[in-house]
Order: sequence, then structure tokens, then C-alpha cells
Amino acid sequence: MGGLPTKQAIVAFTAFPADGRPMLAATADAVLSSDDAAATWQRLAKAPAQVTALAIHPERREVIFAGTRAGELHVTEDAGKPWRKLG
Amino acid sequence: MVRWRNQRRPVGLLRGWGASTGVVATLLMLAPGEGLAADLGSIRSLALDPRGDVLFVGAASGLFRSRDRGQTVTPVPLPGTPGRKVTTVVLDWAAGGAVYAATDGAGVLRSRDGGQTWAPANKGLDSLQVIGLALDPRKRQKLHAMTRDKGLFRTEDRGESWERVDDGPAGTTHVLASVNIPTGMGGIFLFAGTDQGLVRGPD
Repeated sequence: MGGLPTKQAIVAFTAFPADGRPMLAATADAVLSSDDAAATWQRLAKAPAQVTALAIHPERREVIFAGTRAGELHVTEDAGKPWRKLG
Repeated sequence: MVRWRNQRRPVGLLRGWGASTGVVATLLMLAPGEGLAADLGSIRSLALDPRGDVLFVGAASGLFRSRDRGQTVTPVPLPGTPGRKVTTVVLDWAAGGAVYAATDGAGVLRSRDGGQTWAPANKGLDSLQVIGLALDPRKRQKLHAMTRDKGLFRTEDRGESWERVDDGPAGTTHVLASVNIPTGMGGIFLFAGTDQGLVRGPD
């Protein structure tokens, strides 16, 4: 087993289907993005709070949908800059 | 035997899922025309069709669908599972509108017509508490299902039959996904988001 140090729960995860770039992961308080197969992660600024689901547009990797614990939907058309609440 | 290993994540505070699961999901109580016009409860999974026109939402109170890019959602009735928590929804657009819904209690349901009609797809699945479902992005007839209490299962025929793989990753799995990584050795890798972090095993 690998044993890389991590103790944070990952509550949501998705990846762009064609090549896995980006991968997106949500923790209890952040949405993280990786472009190098999970080697390094960057925090997406101004992401919605308490994200519990993530999806990437199958053909446009910069379009990301996020669902929250409170039942809200958010979208960004530009990889997180900015997010817009739907509904 | 699948070997799972943790994935490096450099940022953020330590906070376990368990600390927040006691929070009762806040249900939206909105009139039509305001907000999403449906009581979703906590959203567990999202899936988009290739053009991004149709959005499926798996949530604590069931399955929902939006045809206007998420502006409004309407419930998608699942047979025998009124209000059942949908933990994962997966679309296989290559199969002409196949939709899979994993539920916590009714196993996996499959639709071949874009979500109009549904049937159980649980043959060989030892548990109906399915907490994660992943579609292989290359071999789209292949899926993995993580159960709450019986481990990890795999189908090679779009859910016609399942076989057990192993115990799956340690800890509690919250989300499962197959990822195509063409760089390096290349291949399809199965990722699990767990209460102990992000772990990876071979698909």
C-alpha cells in the first residue's frame, strides 16, 4: 500500500473523461484541482461552500458543476472564475 | 487483488467527514420559479450528457433531472424507491442514453432510454447498499460498484451481472470514479474518495 500522508475526507471527486485533466476533489471546506494525475493539487478560489458533488462538462473541461450539502447547484464556465448559483 | 494507495494532497485543514454527517441536510423549500423548485436534500452526484444540455442530480431525496442547464430540476421516479437516496448517477452516452443510478438500499437501477424507464441491475451484487459507482471511460460496458458492507464489485456487461473484486479501499467510501490517465504508464485507474483521503487502485 502506498501510504502517502493524508487524513482528509474526500466527499466528491471527478475527472475529465478524455484524459483526466483536470481531476477535481472536494473536502469538507475546499474544492481542489489537479492537472498532473493527482500528484499536486491547487485550491479553487471562491468555490461554493460544502460541495458534495462535482461534474465536468464531457467536452469542455473548463465547465464545472458543483452540488452542495444544502441542495444547491453552482456552475463555473471558466474553471472556477467565477462561480454562479443556479436556480 | 487491488492495491489501493493514498494520493498526495498538500492543502487544507484536517476535518473528517464524520464530523459533519450529523448535520441534518437542509432541504430547499422554494416556490416554483424560485431556486431549483425541488427539494433535493444533500446533493451526492452530478452527471452531464455530452452536450451539457441534460443534467442528472443524485441526491438524498432521490434522482432529479434538469433540461435547462441546472436552472430547474424535476424528480425522476425510480421504481420501488420513492425518495430513496441516490448516491451516484452515471451516464453512458455511447450506449444511446443509458443511465445508471446507484442507491443506498435498492442497489443499481439502469435505464436504456435516457431515464424514462428503469429496471434493477443487481445480479451478483451481494449488497443493495451501493455507495459509489464508476463507469470506465474507455470500456464503457465496464463499471465498478462499491457497497457499504460487501466490498467492491465489477461488471463487464453494463450491469447484466456483477462479480466481487475485493474489500475495496479502507475506511468509508464517499465517491468512486474511473479515470483515464494517458500519461506515464497510462491506463484506467479507479479512484475512491474516502474518509481517509483519495486512494487509487487499478481499474
